[in-house]
This record gives sequence, structure tokens and C-alpha cells, in this order.
Amino acid sequence: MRRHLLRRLAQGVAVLFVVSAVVFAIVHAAPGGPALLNNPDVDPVMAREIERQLGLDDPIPIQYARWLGNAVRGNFGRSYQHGLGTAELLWARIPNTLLLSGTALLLAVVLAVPLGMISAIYRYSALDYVATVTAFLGVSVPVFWLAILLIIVFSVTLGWLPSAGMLTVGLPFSMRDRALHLIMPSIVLATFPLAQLMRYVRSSMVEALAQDYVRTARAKGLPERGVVGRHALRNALIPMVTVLGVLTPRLLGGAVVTETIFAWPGLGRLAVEAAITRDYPVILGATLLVSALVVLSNLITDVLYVVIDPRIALR
Amino acid sequence: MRRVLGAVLAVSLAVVIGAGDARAQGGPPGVLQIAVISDVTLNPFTLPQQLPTLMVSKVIFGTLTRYQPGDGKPVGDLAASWKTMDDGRAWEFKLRPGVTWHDGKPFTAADVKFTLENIVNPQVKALFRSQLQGLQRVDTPDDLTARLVFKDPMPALPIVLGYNIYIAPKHLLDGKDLNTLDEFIRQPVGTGPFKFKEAVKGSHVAVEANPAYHGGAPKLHTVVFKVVPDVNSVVAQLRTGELDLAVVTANHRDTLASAPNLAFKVTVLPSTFYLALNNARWPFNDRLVRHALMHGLNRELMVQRLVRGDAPLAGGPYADAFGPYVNKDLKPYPHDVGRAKALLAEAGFTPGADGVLQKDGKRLAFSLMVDKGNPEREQIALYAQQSWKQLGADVKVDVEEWSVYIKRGNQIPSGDYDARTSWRITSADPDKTAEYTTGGVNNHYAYSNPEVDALMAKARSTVEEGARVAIFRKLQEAIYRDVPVVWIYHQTEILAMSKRVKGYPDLGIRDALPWVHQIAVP
Amino acid sequence: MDQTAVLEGGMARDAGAERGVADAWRRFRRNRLAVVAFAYLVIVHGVAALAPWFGLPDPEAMDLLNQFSPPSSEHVLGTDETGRDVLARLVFGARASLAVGLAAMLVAVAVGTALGALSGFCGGWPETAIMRLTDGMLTVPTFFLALLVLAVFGSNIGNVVLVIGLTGWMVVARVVRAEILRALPQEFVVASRALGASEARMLVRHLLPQALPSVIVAATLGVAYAVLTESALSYLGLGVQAPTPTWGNMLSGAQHYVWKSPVLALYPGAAIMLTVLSYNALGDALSDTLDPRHAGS
Repeated sequence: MRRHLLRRLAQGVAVLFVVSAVVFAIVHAAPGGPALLNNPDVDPVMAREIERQLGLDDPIPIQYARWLGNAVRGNFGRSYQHGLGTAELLWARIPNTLLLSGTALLLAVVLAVPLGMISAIYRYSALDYVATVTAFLGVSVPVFWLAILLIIVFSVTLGWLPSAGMLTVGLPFSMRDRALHLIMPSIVLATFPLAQLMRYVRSSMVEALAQDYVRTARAKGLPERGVVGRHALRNALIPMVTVLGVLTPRLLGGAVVTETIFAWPGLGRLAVEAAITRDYPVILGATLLVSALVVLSNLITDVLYVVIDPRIALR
Repeated sequence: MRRVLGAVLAVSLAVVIGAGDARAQGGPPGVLQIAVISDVTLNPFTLPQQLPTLMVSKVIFGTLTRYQPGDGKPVGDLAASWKTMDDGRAWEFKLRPGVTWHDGKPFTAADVKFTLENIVNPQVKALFRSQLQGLQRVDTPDDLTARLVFKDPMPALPIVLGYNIYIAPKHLLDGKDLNTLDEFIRQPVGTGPFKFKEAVKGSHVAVEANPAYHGGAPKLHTVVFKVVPDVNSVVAQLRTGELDLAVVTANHRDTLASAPNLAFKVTVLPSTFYLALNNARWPFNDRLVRHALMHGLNRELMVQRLVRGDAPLAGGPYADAFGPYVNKDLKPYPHDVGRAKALLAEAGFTPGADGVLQKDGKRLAFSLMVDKGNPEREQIALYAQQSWKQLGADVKVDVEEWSVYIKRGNQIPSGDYDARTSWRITSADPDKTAEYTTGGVNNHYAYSNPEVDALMAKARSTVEEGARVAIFRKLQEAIYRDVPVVWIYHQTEILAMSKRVKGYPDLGIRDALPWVHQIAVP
Repeated sequence: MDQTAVLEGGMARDAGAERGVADAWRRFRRNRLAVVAFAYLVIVHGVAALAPWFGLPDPEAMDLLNQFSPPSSEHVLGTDETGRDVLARLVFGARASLAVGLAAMLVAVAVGTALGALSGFCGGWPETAIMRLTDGMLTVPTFFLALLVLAVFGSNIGNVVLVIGLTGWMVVARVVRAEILRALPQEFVVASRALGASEARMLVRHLLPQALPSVIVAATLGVAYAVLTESALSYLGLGVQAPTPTWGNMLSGAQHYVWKSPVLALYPGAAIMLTVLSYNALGDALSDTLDPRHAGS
């Protein structure tokens, strides 16, 4: 088990290394340049001078070597746009992104598991049919479209929920205020994973219910709740953990759009702004950090397998 | 299982209903909430010149001059009075006595000298250096006198100084690397009406009242600059009262017009939106072609239907905001397709086999570059394409990402484009050397007319007001005749403002913020 | 069950044990959602393909005197913010959106099939290398990568197709590899190898057809992914650029007018959702009908 985890960790580090090289090559090979230098009111001579001071006139491999050398020592450079250290900027955003994606993921799991199970147990019922179609809608709806519809209904028409941000500035911090700001973004972000998970829980539950040992348990006269809860559910959960691992990158991708619409100060928005203003140090830092989060979540998935099914540890 | 479902439904309902009494009522009294689209960096030397940073800077820092509500004339801020010497080559500023920094230290002429000399110091990446071009030194005969000495006359200096030249505290910054200022940008200290309180990246910047402000204690206790990157969120938050002030587009003004809690203020900016034609390239090197493209465009309809926002149709290069310098005799070229076609024929163009005009075997084909993401500008480009196609030109619209658009577009002596959308926001200083003289740093369309060059140079060295006005009016005529670019409209700023806001000065948002201490939100 | 099957997220794996094409078709028809979806897709693709022959107004022609006009006999769905015909834009937008979806899917399938086949068939270090690459790509937040590439290189239609295709091939590669590994030990493969069939011939004639059903399923879901991704990129201003209408850029354009004229956002949003929904439903039904594992279970 430990060797397995260590190997996955090593793979993760290798992935991060490759990602950094690829992203570095992409941003530096592109035409244009940092927005800082492409400011209509900065005269071109000045811009070239700043470019030289930032070391952007060196060959790309040399720039990469320099960046990598600093990065392994924990120095990710200074943001062109914000004038602050990249690490500091990123650290400030991590809790926000984790709060939003964590809530969304929790929402997805908490709703998807019971709904998927109900669908599977009452297969072909009207309930199942509604749930199935809803799940299909959930994986098919454009996220930002859903977000705009929600804002129109809940913020503008009904006035129930704040439309953006993560707190009411000027009021003292309160859990209630934070929770209100969290509702719409987390629902929007949860939609895709919720629907996907529900579809999956249903099908693996259906499969599990058809297995021999479930039939045996039923035949033995075990109460239905015990059959479903103890036998079928546990077996249905194992592959679900895999889905969660796969959904994490997708969730963080979805967070980009969600954070932009709801003005949520997270990593995704920072990354989009950095990409648009060509803030090289932040682009690299944010991409690396998000990849690291994914690697980490995959490691957690590996551990979860063992927790749910100790037999896997023996492999 | 049904019970589980029931429980889930009950919980979600409770959450939704529980939220019911949270209807937004606007911000707390005494707090002004202003929208900005991105984060800010408060280094007074290397400020990225983006509206959000400038807006926050204007309430924290002081400038020597600011613009008077109503007519926009420069009046004192940190300076109490000034006079010009040596034919406009030197200016003496008497500073306001008794002004203190937010940390309690006194403000003196040494701060002015420190700031201005560092802005022109080549070691400092100061983005506003070009505005103080030719500053040789700042003399400080006493603590309340600063004498600025320039190489050439600077007749419009008081306007320039009020625009973006923030005075920074010498006692905190002397000897530091002004390009980074890690500590200072976390806790900036100025002389403005508000003191820095906190900045949460991606969320907001909050500033609190400076009771010792030289213009009197502010009526607000807090100003919050909220970072709202999505336009629809800005509209939603204006409606719900989560924002009090935001610059909006004409389209959103129409949308918000029905909101009972909002009022609007339109300000004409000293800035013109135009389609630049690269005068260095064929066929735009031919004045007849430029005139034809001007006549071929129904600019009045474009302004009315695409721009709206009370933006005036641009007759020539000078917006109304330049006041007395504007030559009002220059009427906009009329929309006249027949005349446009005649001009192209006169220039030697004949219809080719494919329906596109051609001359000496060269097709009248060019691309029109526009920056991506702004619907209004994209629509203008697409409409121009459609209109010019009807004259027989083959126009391709080239939508480019911002940094590519600027990098290709803003080169001198000529940009890497055929035609492009462009605009430039400046102070109300009518000196347009940068835009309309040969080799000017913003003359990316390579316009060159020796008569204009000479007149502009003459205006720069003329201090006497009446003579200056006459020169500017004359040079506008020459530019108007040449049609170096197709002017579309003079830009306006539409400010959506909550009716709770009282005492907002009669200025655009940039120029109003130095007077924010007069604003109240009961 | 491996991740590949997980990604397909099957709904109806529990169908009975019928065999044969006729049975498959019968089972497909029984899935009412899939039948409706299929019919919708046939219509949408037909309309998109025949767009220029419907006599619709020019979808790019602006009419500034007719902005936001309500539905009329001249403009069946009214006009947009610059007076362009909404119906024409929806129909021509379908052309571009579906073209992007299908082309991106083809890129993904081509890359995925090539890499999957190579790794399944060759084994050894190519297999290790390819599978590591696939694992790695699944670890990378591909949407981030996609938007980064488009932000720096510009988002013309070709770049959008390439970026979506090159971030979506991993599932196909895994499916193809799994099918080939399954087929390799089967009798007819062993036999044809014994008869001296060339490797390439064997791959193309015998092994890839085995993978075809799974690839079709993955491809169907791939179109859904591509259409949805194009719309999300459009929201961030990184989709296909004007003047070419696509559902994505219609929707992102309409978001500026969502307060004044919400229907402008409603039409393309609904078109995207229904199309993605149909492709998903179809993919699901196909995985039930075509996949020998499911049919045989």
C-alpha cells in the first residue's frame, strides 16, 4: 500500500514537471506578451526596457531553467499585474476555491447517493424516469447559462440571495452571510458532478442488486434495508470513488466559469485573469497549483479505496 | 427510502425559505460601494494604468491639482496656488499648509521633489514618465514651495499634474526599490480623504475616512471598491443595492432605466473612438480613399444605434471635453454613398471581375482589426465591414485578443495592421503631439502633415491662452481635411448611481473621486 | 470496472440478454428518450446541412433600424442586438457548433484510436509511455489548459477544434486499448496470426472492428463534451469568434442583453442543452445496444 502511494506520488510530481514545461513553452511561444507591456499609454521604448528588466528577452529554455531553479526553492516570482509574490496571491485564493468546490462536491455526493439509490431501487418508476431525465439535463446544461438564470430568478426577481461575492462588505463576518453567498455558486458548480454521480450510482447500484450475493441475502430473508445498505451500497461505492477522482479536474475547470460569474475570489478566476493579461508567473503558479490539487485528490482517492474495501490493499 | 428523499427535500426547502428574509437592502449607511472590474495594485510609481487602480489611488493619494466640478478646470489639491515662469519652462507651486500623511507625518515640498524626480528616473518603471517628459529638476526653496523646471515649455502642466501624478511619502519610501514596494502596497499611506483599510484580492478594497483630511472630514466612513468581473453581476448588484456606483454601458443603462433606486450621469470624456487607417499602407496613403471610407459609413446611425449613451458623433479629432480649444466650425462629414463611390472612382478604382474594386490589378481588400470581448466595438467593426463592402471593398474583420491587438496596433512609425479600432483617453490637455504629429508615440497610423507638425510645436511653446486657442483651432482644420482616421464618436462615461448617494460632484468618476469626501450615503 | 466505463456512466446496463442486430434495434427503440434524441439529432443535423437552401436571411447582415425586433413574418424569431435574424443565426450557428463538435470529436477519436491501438497492440515501452501520457492527461485540469492555449494563441475555429479534440482523446485511447487486449487472445485473431497475416492488416481488419462499438459510444459522448466545452469557452470570450455565428458565441453575445431581451440567451442555450442532452442520451443507449459486454451480460 505504501509503495503504491509512493509510486503515485512520484508520478504526480512527474506530471507537475511536464505540465510546468508545457505551460511555460505555450505562454512564452505565443505572440503578444504581457499586458503590462502592451499598455496603450506606455511608450514602446519604455516597454522594451521593462521587458529586458523582467528577463523576457532571454531564450525560452534559459528563462525556463531560471524559473524552475527558483520554483523548486519555493520562489514563483512576482506577479506583473498585482506586484505581489505569486505564492502569496495563490495562497490567499486556495481557501476560497476549496470552500466552493468542497461544498459543491459535498452537495453532489449527499444528494447523488440517495437519489441514485432510490432510482435504482424503484427502477422504471415515474420517480426513476424523472430522476434520469433530470440527471441528463444536469450533465447537458451550459454552466454559465444556468448561473445567469439562477441570478435572474433568485437575486433580481425574488431578492433572496446575493448575486456575487463571498461576503457583504461592511458587515461583520457571519456564517449566515457566508452561507447565503455560497448557495448559488455551489449549486451551479455541483450540477455537473451531481448529475454524473447520480447516473453512476444508479447504474452501479442496479448492477450490484443483480449480483448473486444480493440475491442470496434476499433469499435468506434479510430485511430489504439491510440488503441494500450493507451489501449493495458498499459495492456500489467503490467505483463511485473512482468517479470522484475523475470529476475533480472537471470540478476545478467548472470553478473557472462559476467563479467568474459569481465574482468568487478563487483560483480559477485568478488563472483566467492571468491568462488574459499574460501574467506569466501567475499563469504558471496557478496551473501548477491546480494540477497539484488534482494529484492530491487522486492520492486521497487511492486511500479511500482501501478504507472502503480493505481487500484492495492486498493487491 | 422515501423517507430519505422526504428529508432531503425538507432540508433543501428549509434552506431556500430560510434565505427568504435576506432580501438585499443595499449597503450599510455611511458606506459607498463602487464597482471595479479587477484587482488593484497601489504602487504610486508603477501603477498599471487600469481604471480600477486609478480609482482607488484617487481616494488614497493626493495630487498637486484636481479638476473643479462643473467646468473641469484645474484647481489646487495639495497645491494651494501656482504661477508660471520662464515662458512656461518653470512652474512654482505653493503647497497647502498643514497637510499630513495618513501616518501623521507632515507633507512637505520634499515629498513632491522625491515623487516627481523618481517618476522621470529611468531606473523606476514609472508608467507616467512620458507625461512629465523634459522635467529636469524640482527645486524646494522652502517646505511649502516646489519649483518644477522643464527643458521645454509646459503650458498645460496644471492639467497634467491632476490627471495621474500621485504624490508619494518620501519618509516611507526613500531608499527603497520603488519598482516593488512589497510592504507599502500592502498598507499604502497617502494624503487623500480616505485611508487604506484592507484589500482582499479578488473581493474588494476597503478604505476608511481620514478625519484629518485637508478638505474637511469625509461624510462617509467607508468606501468599498468591489471587484466584480462579470457585467451581468454588476447589473444585478446595482439593482439589488449591493453596488452604489458603477460605470455601465449604454445597453445596461437602458436595462436599468426601470430600476427605481438608480439615477444616471453622463460625462463627455476627452477621448474619441475612431477607425484608424494605416496611412503608411496602400490604399490608405491616398487621401481620396480615406475620404471615401468616411463618406461610406453611416456614422450617425452607428452612434445612435450601436453606441447610444448620448455619445456625440465625432466631426473631427477634438472631443467637446477640450472646451474652448474645439473648432466647432468643423461639421461631421455626411453619409453619402454616391459621393464615396465617386471618390473611389476618382482615385482610379474600377469594378473587378469578382465585384471588388481594383486599381492597377490590386484589389481593394484589407482587414479591420478589433479587440475581442467588447460587444460594442465588435459590432462597430462588423457594421463598418458591411458598409464598406457595399462600396466594393473586400473587408475582413480580424478579432484579436487584447495583448496581440495592442502589440500589433501600437507600433511606431506604423502599426502592423491595415485598419483597426482605436481610442485614447487623456487628460484635457489639448496637446495631441503624440497622436497627430509625424513620429508621435501614439501615431500608429503613420499620419504625417508638416503643417500640423509645425502648428502643434507652436502650440506647445505658446503660453498665452488666446493665441493657443487660435493655433489649436487652425491645426484641427488641417487634420479634418486630411481624414487620417475615421472618427466615429466622442466617448462618454455613463455612471449608474444609487439614489442613496448624495453630493456627487459634477464630474466623471475619475475626476470625481478626489472630491469623494463631499459624498454622503445616509 | 475501469475508469473508462465509469466515464460513460451507463444508465441501462441491466437490459436483458438478447442478441443480434434486430434485438439491438428493438432494445434501442424501447428506450424512448434515445429515440426522441435520435430523431432530434437527425433533424438538427439535417437543418444545419441544408441551411443555405432554406431561403433564410443572411445571418451576418446587420439592420440597425431593426434591433431587438419581436417575431414577425420577416424575422420568425425576431432580431438580435444588431438587427440580425435570430432564426438564421440559430440555423447557421448549428452548422458551426455541430461542425466544431464533430471535428473535435474526430480529432479526439483519431488521436485516441491511434494511441490506444498502438499501446494495446505493441505492448512494451510504447504501451507504458502511452498509458502514462493518458494517465497524466487525465490528471491535468484540461479546461485550464484549453483556455490558456486559446488565450495566448487566439481562438479561431481551427484552434478551438484542436484544443477540444486534443484534451478529449483519453477515454477513446483507453477504450480502444481495452478492446484490443480483449480481442488479442481470441481464436480468430490467433488463427489469422498463425496464417501469417501482416500485423498492420490484422490490426485494421480484425482488431479495430472489435473496438468499433465502444469507439462509437465514446465518440457520441465526445460530441456532447465538445459542444458544451465550446459554449463554456465562448462565455470566457475564447470560443469561435465573430462574425461566424455559433451557439456558443450567440449565447455569450446575448449575455450582455440578458436583461433587455432574455429570449436571445434562451434560444441558443436551449439549442446547446438539447443537443448535448441528445448526444448523451444517444451515447448511453448505444452503449447499451452496441457494446457486446452489455448486450451479452
